[in-house]
Amino acid sequence: MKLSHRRSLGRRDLMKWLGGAALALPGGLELFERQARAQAAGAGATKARFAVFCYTPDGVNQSAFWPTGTETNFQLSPILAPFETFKDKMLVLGPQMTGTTPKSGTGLTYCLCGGTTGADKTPPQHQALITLTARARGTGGDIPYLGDQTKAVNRLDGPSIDTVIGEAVQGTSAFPYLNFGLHPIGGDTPSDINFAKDGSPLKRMSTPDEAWSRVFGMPIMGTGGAPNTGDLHRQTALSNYLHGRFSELSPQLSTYDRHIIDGHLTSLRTYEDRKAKLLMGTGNACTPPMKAMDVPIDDTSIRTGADTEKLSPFFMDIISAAFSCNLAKVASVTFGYPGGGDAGGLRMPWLGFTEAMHAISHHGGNPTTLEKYKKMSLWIAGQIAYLMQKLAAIPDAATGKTLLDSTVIYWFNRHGDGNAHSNTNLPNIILGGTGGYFKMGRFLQLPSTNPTKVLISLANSMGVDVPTFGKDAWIDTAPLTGLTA
Amino acid sequence: MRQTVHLGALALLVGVAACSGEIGSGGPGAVGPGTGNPGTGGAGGGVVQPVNCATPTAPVLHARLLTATQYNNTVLDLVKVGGNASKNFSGGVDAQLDDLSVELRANAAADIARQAVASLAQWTPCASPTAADATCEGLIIDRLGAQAYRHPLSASERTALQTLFDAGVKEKDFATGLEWFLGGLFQSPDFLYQFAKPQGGEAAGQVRSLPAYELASRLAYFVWDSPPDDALYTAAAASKLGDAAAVRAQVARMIQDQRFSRGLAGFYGSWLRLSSFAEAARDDAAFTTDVVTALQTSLLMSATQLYTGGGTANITGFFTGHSYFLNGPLRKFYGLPGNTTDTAFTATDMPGEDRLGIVTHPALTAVLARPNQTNPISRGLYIRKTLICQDLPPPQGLAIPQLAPVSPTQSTRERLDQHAKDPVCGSCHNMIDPPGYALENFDQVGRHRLTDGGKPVDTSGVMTTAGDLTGPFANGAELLGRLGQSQDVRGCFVQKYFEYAASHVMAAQDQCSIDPLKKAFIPSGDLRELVTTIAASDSFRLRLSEGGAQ
Repeated sequence: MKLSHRRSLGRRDLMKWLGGAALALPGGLELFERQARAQAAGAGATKARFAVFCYTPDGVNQSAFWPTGTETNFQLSPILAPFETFKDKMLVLGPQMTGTTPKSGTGLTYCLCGGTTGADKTPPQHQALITLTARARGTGGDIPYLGDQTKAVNRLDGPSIDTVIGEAVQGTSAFPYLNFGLHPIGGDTPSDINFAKDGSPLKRMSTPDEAWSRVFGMPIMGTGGAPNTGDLHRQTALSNYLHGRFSELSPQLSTYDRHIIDGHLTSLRTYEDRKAKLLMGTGNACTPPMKAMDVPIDDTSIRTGADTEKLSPFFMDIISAAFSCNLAKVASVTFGYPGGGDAGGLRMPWLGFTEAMHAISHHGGNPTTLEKYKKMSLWIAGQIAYLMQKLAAIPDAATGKTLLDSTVIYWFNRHGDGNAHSNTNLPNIILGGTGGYFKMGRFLQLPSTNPTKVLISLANSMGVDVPTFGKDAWIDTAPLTGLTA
Repeated sequence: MRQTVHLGALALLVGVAACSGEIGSGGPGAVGPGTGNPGTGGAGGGVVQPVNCATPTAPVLHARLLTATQYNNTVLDLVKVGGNASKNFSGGVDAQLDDLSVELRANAAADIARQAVASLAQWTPCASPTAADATCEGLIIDRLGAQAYRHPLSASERTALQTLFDAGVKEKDFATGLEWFLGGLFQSPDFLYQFAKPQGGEAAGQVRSLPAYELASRLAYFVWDSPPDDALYTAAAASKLGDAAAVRAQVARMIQDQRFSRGLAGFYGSWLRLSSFAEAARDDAAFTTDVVTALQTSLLMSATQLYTGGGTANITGFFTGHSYFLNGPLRKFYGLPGNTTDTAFTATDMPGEDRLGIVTHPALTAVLARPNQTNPISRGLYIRKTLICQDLPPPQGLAIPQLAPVSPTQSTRERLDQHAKDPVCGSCHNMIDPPGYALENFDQVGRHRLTDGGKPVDTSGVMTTAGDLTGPFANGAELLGRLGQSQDVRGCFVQKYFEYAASHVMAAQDQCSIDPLKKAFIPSGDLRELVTTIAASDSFRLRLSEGGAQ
């Protein structure tokens, strides 16, 4: 970067560019955004300001996951041990226990309602998409799907809760949400968790360079000095050309193709809007984590899965830095893809074994395999604890506390036990200070509970009112009672 | 005469329904916005709809994004910039681009533009690479603009591109203008998508020919995985792509071109699961990245080399012989005689190892495995799904019984035999596992073996609900031999190749094109002719109108 080549930026430059980009949003989208923001603005002060959604597939070793003890006096399990120092910032959404064994059919449970439409109300196994959308597709859903995500695009007919929250609370942040994935795609089962308003799956950043350059590439330009006039002129010319081209093309297309192109244009406008803000240097002063090139991964570590050990903390570093820089308030991390396939999702060779998460999750009650299963979840818990440590080390000027105090983290799974592909005893936990919204430091033992209630609660914790969420058997209209402070 | 056909290989699919409750590889995926299904008229997964084939029939056709390789090949052909600019792109051809995807394409376009300015001498249409005047600018806009949009520029399209170019010239200089122009061009919707634009006066329900330039693109991206060349554009300009015969003539030329190998890599990369190698790790320390990369190359060559040398490329080549293209490190890894350092891939016999054709290629048996053991389920599913087009989705709503852990004294087959004993598992696994067992004499790195868990490998089994593969087989070789004779395998191959060409899973209307394709291909097995006849088929050249532009 050559600062000497930068000149101060005229207001006209920006207006010219934004003028080119400022085409009207489709009415429905505009309405959605206006509503969501109004709701966010109307929320009370006791709420979280940052949210992180951490998805893991293939269930957990149930015998090593749940705490023991009472609601407020409990001992952590082997898998939850990394959260020992954050015990007062945990809300375990547990099942009812018989001794140390969870009762099947209690706790967070996906409804297997059956009824006249039979399996239609069974959420498709493994598919991650139900977790944040409370919608399903494929076998048992309304919309067919193709397993191979490298070819198929598996759309839903509604958004995931993280995008609803992210767009409602974005405010002056550059990004409504940042989605990361560790080996997020592979095998034969769709792994998408993040869905746009129209139900399109959202791409996740899964390589160091795309993550770093997307989140920090532009802000660094903006904060190093005056914006680069040449860049702005270039972007203005490109935007004018592209917007003109979309406008000319759109009426020539069929209804279907125009929908695709209009969606593309909306995405382009989002990108340009952000780039404008960042080129103008409106982001907070920001210390980025190490650069992408410093993350030591290569073809071999990607092939063996060893890259995850380096990439996961890098993503956590990016999330905490992005929160502190006002680049985003909502993020998600996908830990591997669910289900079968030859590689079978996340692998952790540094733990001393090479089998993939999915193969391990079919533990068959074997003690050796259950131990590996436990270790994999334990490592992921450690990553989330690492994120909490990072956030706890960053002062929050708005509250005088730390970012962790204002953050809500949801660690969630599609299955309870991977071996049985069970839909009950989901091992889901809320973590963080949550801005005082939830009463933390508890191990709840819930009766059979629709997980959608938790999604509504999470939205509420961020000051976002969601009167109803989801579809079919998983729809809900109320948050989970008894969570708030 | 009214002729009615039904979706899918019905005889195969009915049995699958009993296994899973869901039928149909032909069940079209939801591959459009909302719940729309391009090419199907809304047919849901597994719904069998009669189609009238008495008149020309084709499904609707929608915008398709260039795939990652099509994007790279197009950039290479247009401005001679190599590399893998699309490496972080993802998603299918019908993806709705989110802002991350748009950003990645904007960044890629900027990188390509910078490099293309530097390599201008290699692609400039101007008299000199140092030319920097309005004449040269006009030549570049006309040439690159038309190549990127893949049709001649209209006056307004040209004006918009010139405005962009001029803005950069005004900002600094000619090179800047060129860079801005290319940076815009390579993220324009015209470049990124193949469209099917409604033509004047068309009405919903009509079957229309693709306009010549759209057909030229469709042909080029199918046969070459690359953009059209000048000859295709010339044919389009002269309206010489109007019928099946004209298309056949073009394809006859195109399969002689070296770009045909790109098209073959496109199809066979998918058919042979080459993307799976990126995550193929085995506990065997000698199974290095170099070995894996070489295996990938070797496997692809097993397919593409059939087309070299001018002889008839026939599908029988996939199911016969035990010679594979190996380099030195692969010969070393598999303990074969010959040079062990040579980097060139040469035909190498692997005799006495029960190998027969591409299904027993060491790479394919290796990639369909787990780190420390074989995976008969993966291998069985490959044969069911890819070779005979049966879709077997994962089990639903079942409590999965427990399998024993890997034991050195137990064979993989012994462990998995629980599948057969448990009636719930058996309903599907009795279909999936036997073809996998047929390959049990190849271990998780693709080496031949006679024992597993200290016991002789048993490769016998029974194929159920498998069309003309149905029946018992005494050993793997018997089933492998049957694959080469199977009409259902050939029919499925036609379907897979067609779906690759069409960029969508088979729609109901496609049956009118696929049935004649199968009828011709099953007896002949002629692979080049298959490409030609797919390109000349109604489904490829025509589309069902959904009405005019609105």
